[in-house]
Amino acid sequence: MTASIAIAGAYGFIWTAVLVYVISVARRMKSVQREMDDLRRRVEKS
Amino acid sequence: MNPGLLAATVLCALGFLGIPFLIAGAPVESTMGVVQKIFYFHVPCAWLLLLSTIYCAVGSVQYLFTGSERGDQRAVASAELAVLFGACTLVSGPLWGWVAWGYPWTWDARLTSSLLLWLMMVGYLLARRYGGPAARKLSAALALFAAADAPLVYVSVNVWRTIHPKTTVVPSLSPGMRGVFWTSLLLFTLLWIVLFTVRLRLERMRASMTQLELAYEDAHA
Amino acid sequence: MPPAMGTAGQSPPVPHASWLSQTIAIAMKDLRIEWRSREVVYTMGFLATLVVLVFSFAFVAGQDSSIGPGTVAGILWVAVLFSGTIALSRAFDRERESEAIRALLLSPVPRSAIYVGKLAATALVMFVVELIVAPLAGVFFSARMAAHPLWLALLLLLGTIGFCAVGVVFSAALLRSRSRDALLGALLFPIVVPVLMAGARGTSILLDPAADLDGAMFWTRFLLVVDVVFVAVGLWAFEPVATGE
Repeated sequence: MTASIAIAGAYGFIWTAVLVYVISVARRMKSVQREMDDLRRRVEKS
Repeated sequence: MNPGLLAATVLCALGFLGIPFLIAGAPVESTMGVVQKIFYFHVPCAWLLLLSTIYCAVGSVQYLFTGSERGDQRAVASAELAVLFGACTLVSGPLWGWVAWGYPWTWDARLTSSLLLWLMMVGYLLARRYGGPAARKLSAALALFAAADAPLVYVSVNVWRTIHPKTTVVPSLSPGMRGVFWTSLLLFTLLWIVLFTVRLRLERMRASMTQLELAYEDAHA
Repeated sequence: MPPAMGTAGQSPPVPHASWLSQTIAIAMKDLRIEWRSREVVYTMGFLATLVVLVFSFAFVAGQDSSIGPGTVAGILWVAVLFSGTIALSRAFDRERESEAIRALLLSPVPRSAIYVGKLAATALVMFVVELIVAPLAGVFFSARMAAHPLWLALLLLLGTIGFCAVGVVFSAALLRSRSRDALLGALLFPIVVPVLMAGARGTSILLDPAADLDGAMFWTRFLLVVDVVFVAVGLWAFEPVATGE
């Protein structure tokens, strides 16, 4: 294990983790938004 | 998106583009060498793990004792961030130790306490997801116990490991490093605020969605 | 979430039933049921013995059955805490059958009395099992369990109280969860690590003829602090957790 690999690994992991988290939150938000639109449509139809 | 959040996000993005150059430019630590540079990311992550856990416990107390929905929403947002930044701490730390100490893990008080804290926050999310009808109360109680437990864990591990060889590698910061370190810490805290705000918004959206659904079902029952 | 009908704080005090007697009544009810079936003592005791045996198959090699006081102490505590989840998950199980929990929560008994009663009954049943398993571990591993029997019993009792103080709250909250048994251990063990650590270290010192007993004193006191903290948080958290879903 050399220093450069360790640094690249640590920074890479942190950036990837934050990125994955942001994507996951975005996807969850989109799905809630979709449900909301769906509900709105149902309300308007009735 | 409100202007404050937008500004913070832009600032965060710019900061994270710039910080590698700052870190690369910081003086190299004389005994540990280049690997010490992990420290600029590792310590802010550890700090955010602690901050998130405390914030989660505060929100849980509000929810448990005043029934505050907002407290619960804050607690779940913090718990997710605690798991995220805890994972970052627990990966970057051993990577540093591997080079600096020669082995990735030691049962040092700080390492063990962070690991246990992280496990408890993972437990929080598990409880919330699979806890059944009382999941939210259960996870709030868990956060309460976790907060009360943290000092006990620290003391017990501290005494427990004294029979093991001590590995104290406390980096002493030169002025050049100090500037970079505080910049990084501020930047990470800003990132936390942005992520927290967004995650909180998701939780509020979910809450209003549930209410809408209930209202709809009531109207069509 | 609407508050449950008549929360404990507002209900009129029942004459001639002090908090203590109500607590004892709750604990005695559970102990009496346990005495009739002996279900938890048998299943938990069997599992704890199995854990000790499994460890002895894994660790003991050759003719020499002694493996050092630290390892024996660790094995004993792991066996006790792992099998203890059985007692905890059964603590509220009986209330679920025929919805007895609803009646219990609607009764004018204060929540704190329910909590302490359940805690006392569960801890006592676990303690009985420990009194069987500890000598067994001593026999299997040729450990000096009889060197400080009362002190060892005190350590086990204090550790069990701390463990149950957390576990009873979780068990109550998981009453209606389908994944209760899986979750209970997963949530409990990270939190009770100080109990495990203090218990195992303290026991290891008691088993070691060469060790300085000051260490055991420290861990006994530490367990006492853990118990106070956990019971205080448990008392605090049990009320809202048990009130509704």
